[in-house]
Amino acid sequence: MERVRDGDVRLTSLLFDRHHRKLFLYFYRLTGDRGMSEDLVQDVFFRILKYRHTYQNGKEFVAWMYRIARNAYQDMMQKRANERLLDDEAERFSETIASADGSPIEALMKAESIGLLRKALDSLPSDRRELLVLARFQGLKYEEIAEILGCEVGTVKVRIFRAVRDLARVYNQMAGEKVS
Amino acid sequence: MTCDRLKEQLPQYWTGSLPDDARRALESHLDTCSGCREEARNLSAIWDLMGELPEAQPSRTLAWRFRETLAAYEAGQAAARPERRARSVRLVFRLSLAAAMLLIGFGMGHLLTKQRQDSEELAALRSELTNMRHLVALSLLQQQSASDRLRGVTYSVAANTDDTEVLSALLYTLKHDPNVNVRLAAADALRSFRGIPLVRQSLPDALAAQNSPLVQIALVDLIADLGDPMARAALRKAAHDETLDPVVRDRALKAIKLMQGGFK
Repeated sequence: MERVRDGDVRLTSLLFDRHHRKLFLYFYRLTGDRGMSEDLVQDVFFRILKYRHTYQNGKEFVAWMYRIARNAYQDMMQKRANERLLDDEAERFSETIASADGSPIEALMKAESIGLLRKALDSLPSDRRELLVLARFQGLKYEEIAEILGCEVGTVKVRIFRAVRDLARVYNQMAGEKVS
Repeated sequence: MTCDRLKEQLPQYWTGSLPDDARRALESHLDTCSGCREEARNLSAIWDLMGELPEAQPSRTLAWRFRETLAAYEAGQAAARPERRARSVRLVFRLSLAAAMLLIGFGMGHLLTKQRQDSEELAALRSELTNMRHLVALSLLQQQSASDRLRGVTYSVAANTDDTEVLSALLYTLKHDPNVNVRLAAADALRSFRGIPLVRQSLPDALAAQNSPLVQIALVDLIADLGDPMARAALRKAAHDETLDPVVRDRALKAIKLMQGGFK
């Protein structure tokens, strides 16, 4: 990244190759929308080019990139007046079934649980959903998450646990409603 | 340590990032506290289920769009840099030119330079126009609105290019565009480029990837026009593909017969 900042912008394509899938997944988990996630990835790398001079030596690139990603996401959300676009449930459902192993009944049950989990995840406040995405799907360390969010590691620890607990509560509640 | 403090370590415990002593303390607590054990089991099931969410992959256009942006950015930078250098170069040039004019005569020197500049400028303008057409076609092909993408397809034909990027974008549109009309238009557009190896080789693949009978039929016709062994193999495959609409299979069969007739 230091070389990119110092003018070798062509090297941004290396950074892109290394991080764009993960970043896409981050946005996809947050928005549930493929097209929007791709636009956001594009936006992040454009911002990296544009604001490369603000990158400081020795700083963790991944954390810096996620900070840019969060800003891009927040700007996009603001533009859309906090309206979250979700993929067509049917498409997601068939995607889940297609990717499941085992018997068709098991696949169907798994698809239903996953569909429910998605709904539960989508219904969490965006800051909690984001924490879960960072910790569970992006595989980031607590120290990195703390740097991205600009808070203490201890705070991250507490907030992630609470987010999991909230998710479980909403999920179980939805599962209960489905049964009753 | 209280139950809550210990449970806050659960996510790290699940990811294996909890230090050994903390892990042992947590495990021994879970052994003795049934309430925490029950909650940990419930939460861990959710944590595991999160891992089952299907992975999503970005489309290939994302990388392609990024490379376009980067190339445009680099081009912008390169254009800005010589501009700065050009100012000082221009001054030196003017002075030298003045001296040269005194020495070898203004008239002839000026005429020759102007002629060369004119032809260079014309070539540069032509290449700029071609590049601009490519860019417009490429950018329209990736718009959100289907009617814009349709215009992109039309523009690709108007650009009359054998540029690999434009053709790849058209082929990508043919295979992956969510709108049937856009895919149909792309199939039509590619008819003009069917002689180009990239297009010839990609058409059988595009046929296999289609789910709309309309586009399948358009592709069967297009492939039949190629008339080579690869085309015949692709049509034979389509004719025997039980998952395809009977009309499409029939069309493929007829195309094969026509081709065989042509080869006799």
